[in-house]
Amino acid sequence: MQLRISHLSKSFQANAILSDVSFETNDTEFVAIVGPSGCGKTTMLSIIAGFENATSGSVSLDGRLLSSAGSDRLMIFQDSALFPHLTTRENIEFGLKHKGMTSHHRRQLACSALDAVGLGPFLHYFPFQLSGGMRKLVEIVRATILTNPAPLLLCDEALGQLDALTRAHTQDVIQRLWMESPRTVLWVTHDLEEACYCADRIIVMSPRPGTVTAELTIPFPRPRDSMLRTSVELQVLRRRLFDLLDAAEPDESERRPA
Amino acid sequence: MKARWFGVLTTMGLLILWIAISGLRLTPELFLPSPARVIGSLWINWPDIVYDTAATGGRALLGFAAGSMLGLGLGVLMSWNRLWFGFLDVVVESVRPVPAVAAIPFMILWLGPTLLAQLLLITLSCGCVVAVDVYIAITTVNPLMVRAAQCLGASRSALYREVLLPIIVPRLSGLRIAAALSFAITVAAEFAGAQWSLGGLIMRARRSLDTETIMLAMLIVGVLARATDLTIRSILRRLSRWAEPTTLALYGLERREHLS
Repeated sequence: MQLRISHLSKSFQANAILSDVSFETNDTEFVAIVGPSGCGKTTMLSIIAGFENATSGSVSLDGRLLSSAGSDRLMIFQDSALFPHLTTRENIEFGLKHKGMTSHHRRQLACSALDAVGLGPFLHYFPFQLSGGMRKLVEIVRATILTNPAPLLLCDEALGQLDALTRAHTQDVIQRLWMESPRTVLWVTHDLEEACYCADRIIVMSPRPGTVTAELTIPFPRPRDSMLRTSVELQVLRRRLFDLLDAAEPDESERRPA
Repeated sequence: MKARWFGVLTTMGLLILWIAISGLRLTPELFLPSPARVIGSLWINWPDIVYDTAATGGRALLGFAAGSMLGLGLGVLMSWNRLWFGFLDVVVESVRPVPAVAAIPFMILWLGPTLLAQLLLITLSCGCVVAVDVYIAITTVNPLMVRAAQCLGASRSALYREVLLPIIVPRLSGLRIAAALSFAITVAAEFAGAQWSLGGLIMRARRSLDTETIMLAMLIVGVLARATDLTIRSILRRLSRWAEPTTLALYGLERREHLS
């Protein structure tokens, strides 16, 4: 899916949150978005998802102008958005069900998808009985199980609440799922290493009002493995990313109190 | 569970207190009839009382059931969009605070002292309580649930059916309040015209200062209401097995059966 954001701006009353954001993604591209806290990344994702309206500018997907929420885009939030009253399997099946898949077919699909990420034994657990990492994994499977057409995946700090080890593991699972069924991903994160490790391309945003200040293409071939995390190449990229973010930051004297 | 035994203990304590006060003749027999006399009244009047109990219980439960359905419908509509909210909020919120008992004369004027009039009264009162409860419960569901359902392709009605309504079940305390209310209004409505009912029994007994029968009718209403409440609680609990154990459960005050 080709996403095109052109001249997107958003302000709440007199507060400008986003100012003239433009970028495009290619089909099945994994794009990470990094930027200082409060630069409007979440607002931008909400506008793309159709939960909020832009003040000006437009969002289009494969040439279609988007205005309201639809099942061609799927958001994963920082907090768990699993349905608490449904078991793991029922949560996974929810999207398939509303695509009109028969119950037998979707059950098979859900079970094999859960087995593939090691959640097979937790089929009948309710979300509150799962650990935070498992819950995130279920949510990711619930999103990536949807194919033909695969919805645009919008992730807002999706792994933000996980510990470092679980996070690394989950990143690997996401890469695997993404390679098995490629789709366009917008991946908002604070974690620069995560951005370098997961993405094909990184978009750097400025402090509020947010706009695109730089783009970085990540050259590492896939599949990437954890050796890459500590490699010099990745650390050099991470350093560059950090410098780009730092350069965009206003001087201490100019900054208004947060 | 300990909590249950405390309940038995409280009941026994109250019973002993009642026996003691009436046995020691601290008050005239008329003011507080002894348990023995109340049982005696049951012995004499039991064929009537069985019928009266069934009539009152049926009326209250029927009114409560109809009121719950009405309240569910109103609550869902109020949360559906601002237009419905605008229409209904003012009606529900003005009917709810007016004591239903105050409307009894009108009900009788319009419909006569009929079952329909009584049921209408109970249904409207319960409906307003449940409507507010359902509306508040729906509108305070985590917005991420709504967004996730939208993203996953659920229609508006599927969102309600499969996500919002099941999620609010553990918080529907309004059902219990409405059930208790239905008994209160049933008895009041029966005073005004249902001769063969517990309310009617109290009115008949009042004329002859037959306080033990009045006491008996009160006790029966209490038992019916308590049984209804326990039933509702157990149904809600069964439908809430997915819910995170609450703070109360941690202190052992609320029994919850969980899968693991």
